[in-house]
Amino acid sequence: MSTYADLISEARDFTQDAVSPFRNEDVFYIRHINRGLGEIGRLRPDAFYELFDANNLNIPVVVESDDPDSLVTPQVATTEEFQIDQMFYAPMLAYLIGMSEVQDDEFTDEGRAAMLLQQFRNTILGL
Amino acid sequence: MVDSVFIEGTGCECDVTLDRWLKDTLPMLPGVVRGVASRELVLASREFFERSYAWQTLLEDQNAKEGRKQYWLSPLDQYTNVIGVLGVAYLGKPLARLTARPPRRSTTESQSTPMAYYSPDAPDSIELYPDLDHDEDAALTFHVALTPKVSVEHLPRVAEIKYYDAILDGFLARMYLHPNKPYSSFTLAQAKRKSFNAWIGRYAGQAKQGNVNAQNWVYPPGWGVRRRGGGTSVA
Repeated sequence: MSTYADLISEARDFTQDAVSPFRNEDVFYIRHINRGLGEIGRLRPDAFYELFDANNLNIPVVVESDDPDSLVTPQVATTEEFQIDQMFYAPMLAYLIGMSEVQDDEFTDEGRAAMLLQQFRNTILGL
Repeated sequence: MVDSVFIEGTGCECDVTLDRWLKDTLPMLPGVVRGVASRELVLASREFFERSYAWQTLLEDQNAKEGRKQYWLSPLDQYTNVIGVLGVAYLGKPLARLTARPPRRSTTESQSTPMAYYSPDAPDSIELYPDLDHDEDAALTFHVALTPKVSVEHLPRVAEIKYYDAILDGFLARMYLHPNKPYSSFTLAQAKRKSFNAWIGRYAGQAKQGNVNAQNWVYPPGWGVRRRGGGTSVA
């Protein structure tokens, strides 16, 4: 199973940002993973069906942590497995790369960013 | 204050897993979350049994209690609830159905044999009328309609043997109606809902005939056979 760290690593491959020093630090990707999970929660709340508890979707909040055991639900470390169905992994990757393309002022390609963000939306809502 | 009597049954054989329906519908539901599909399948199954009364059983040899008692029939067992009491017999004699308890009389309402039953406030409970004036063991027989509980992860054996396609259509009707999913289709939802309703009508009819094509009526117990021309009092 893939982890949130894998998601960041794959996004770095696509944005040519896999070699240190990075243009975007991990915290940038983590922030947008959390935004993306929030978007999935808004558009496809059923994605979090298995995490639902106490009348709450419990959308994971990904954080950098050296001590994952100290985290309180819904916080999860980047080393944790991607908690929702794997069919949401690819759209999440598209979202992450798209957001990276939007903000990357050296390699910005607006068309690609828009295409990726549209792809994120299309793949979670349609065929 | 009405005392409660809890009736327990056993052996409703909820041993059919959901996998067969879920696997058969894989091609129809791209992008579905499996947990949601499982849940909708159970809900479709419950809807089918709740609307059709197609799953019925007899609860025999139940003890009748003295005084005004409310007999509760749900949960029947760990998988099953009672959703309707279709008939009650006391010592083998069918009781008439009443819509409500008759107004209280000034004299005692207890007697040795009840004549009727009614459902006071829930479809899974009944009271006898008049109240019994004594305990009678193994006197009551309940004919009840069943449905799987909301919490089950298995369905009854009859669901697979006979009602497989009906439940499949009901399940797909519910799924296609979900908004903004890759598998959403209002047109297909309507078609499947129409088919589901037709299945329910068909199987409700069969259930009323006891699933053996029996006549689904009896003469009311109070009727007798009379000679033509009236009674016997005229010489």
